[in-house]
Amino acid sequence: MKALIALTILAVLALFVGLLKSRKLLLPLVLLGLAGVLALVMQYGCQCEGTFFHQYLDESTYRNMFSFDKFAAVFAGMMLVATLLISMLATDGFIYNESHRPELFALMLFSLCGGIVMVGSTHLVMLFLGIEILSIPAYVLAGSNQRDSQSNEAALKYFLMGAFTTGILLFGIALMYGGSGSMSLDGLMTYSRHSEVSGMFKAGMLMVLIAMCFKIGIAPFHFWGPDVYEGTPSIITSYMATVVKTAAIAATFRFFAQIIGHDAAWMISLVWMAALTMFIGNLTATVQSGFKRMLAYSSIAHAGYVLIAFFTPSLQATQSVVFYLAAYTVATIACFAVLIGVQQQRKNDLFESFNGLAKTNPLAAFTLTLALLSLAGIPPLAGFFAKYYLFSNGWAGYPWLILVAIINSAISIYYYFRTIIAMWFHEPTDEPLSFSMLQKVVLLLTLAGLFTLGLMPGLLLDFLG
Amino acid sequence: MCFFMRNKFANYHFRSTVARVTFAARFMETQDYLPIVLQSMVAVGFVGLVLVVTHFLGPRRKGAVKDENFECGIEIQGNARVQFSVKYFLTAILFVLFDVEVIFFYPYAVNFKELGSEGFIAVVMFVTFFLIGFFYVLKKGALEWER
Repeated sequence: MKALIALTILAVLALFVGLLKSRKLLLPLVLLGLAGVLALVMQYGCQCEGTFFHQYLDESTYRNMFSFDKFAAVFAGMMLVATLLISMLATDGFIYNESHRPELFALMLFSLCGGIVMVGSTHLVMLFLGIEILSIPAYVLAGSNQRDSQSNEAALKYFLMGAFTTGILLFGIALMYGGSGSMSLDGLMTYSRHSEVSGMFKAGMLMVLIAMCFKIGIAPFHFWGPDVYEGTPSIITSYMATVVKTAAIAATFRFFAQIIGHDAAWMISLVWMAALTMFIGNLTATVQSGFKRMLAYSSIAHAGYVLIAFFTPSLQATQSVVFYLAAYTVATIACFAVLIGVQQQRKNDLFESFNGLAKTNPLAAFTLTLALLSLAGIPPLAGFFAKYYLFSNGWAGYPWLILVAIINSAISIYYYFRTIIAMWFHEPTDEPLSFSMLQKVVLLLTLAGLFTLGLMPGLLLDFLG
Repeated sequence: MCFFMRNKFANYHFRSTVARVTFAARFMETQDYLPIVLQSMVAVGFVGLVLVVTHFLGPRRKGAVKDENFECGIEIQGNARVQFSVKYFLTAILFVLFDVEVIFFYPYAVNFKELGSEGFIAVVMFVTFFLIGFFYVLKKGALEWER
């Protein structure tokens, strides 16, 4: 909770730095502030005892509405690290709207506050508030490149879809409350174990699940994803693909994994949705000509993989979700770090723009290659172990779904390798790209992250208990 | 119609045994939704009816002049979709924000004594947040009309 307050104050401070003549203070303030908040979260997370969830009724739960337990601490920490890395890219990333740089930072931090509220919420009202605090700044950020019609289009699509989703979510929450008489997580859990769950509750839960699937981008509710991701300025896309997705998946997992895991009717529909999401994400990604749109579809596919953990709710499943999202976040940020450089200097994101990057920019090419290999799930890297934990836990539930996931991982290798081949085996067509100091630091950090998570997964898993 | 039914069942109530009372009460519960159904049927039906009827009743005249955007005798010049600065917009948005703040003051003023110092601190915090926002808006020059 302290972390949340500190983060809000940091965002307000970032706004006010914008009023000063000199903006040299802005980036150090944001980076140091985020590091401080991260330290608070880590310190709190280490103090938390016991397993992830069951800490509802103690004093720290704010009248059963918000619980900053280990689960929340882990995900909040992950989102903070992601935002920290993205902020380091911001020197080059926000160049399209130089005059509003402090506001862009502040919006990103406000949005992050919403993400933390989401992962800590134990009450449907807090979940709703968290989603709104997360989404509203994200709509603005999506359209922050005012001169670019694609950015405007993305913002409008994101906003309209988000507004409808919010309506569906609220209606669902109302029906769930009508059915169960409770909006808090433990109330819902107790009620859903009843032998007789009312139809109203089921209808409400269906609507809430649809809304959450919209936010995560699970097929068949994924249509907004690629368009919005493509039109949005790349640095904001990296934020949406990592932080927003993590928050939505974590909140859905906290609220519904238990309920879904004990009811075959929910399971069977979500299993099909997971399979559909993987196939749509991966197959559509193979036919893309742009790197960014390919990443958008691949992020849809990755959300499909994460759904596997929902069908066998246990401590291990929770750990596998955390680990998978951590590996995915690190790799995605590495991809976007290179993409931002390419887009700015080559003015497009076609695969041809990556030609010969290995000769001209070895560090960027190496990092991007490893990030893509990690996303594909090649052994020594983080992505392999993430997939391994996820799939081996899920095997107990639906073995055929795991087979589908493995087939899809094989498909994904095809499109990830298109970029890798372009970088290593094609001749450079343009002059070398120049990466700033901070961008190089991000590349090195993500590289270290990919190897650390891959070779020493114990570091993260031990922390998880 | 609704009132009529209620009265009818109220009489039924009065004369019947206890078991019948509960049955009638339950029946009335579902009966209560009938006006809503009727209302929505009338609303949809009216719209549909008007749409269809106007199609048949109205005279149909077509022509280049008749189909113009503004049929008023003067020739159209240029496009109506031009950009112009809506300064008033920002002021209006800010007004809404601060208006909401004032609305929150009313219930506080009514309960001022009961809420005591704790309530006072809460309200001061709330006002401080707003003042920070106001300061930011002022410094950003949102209220400078001549810019």
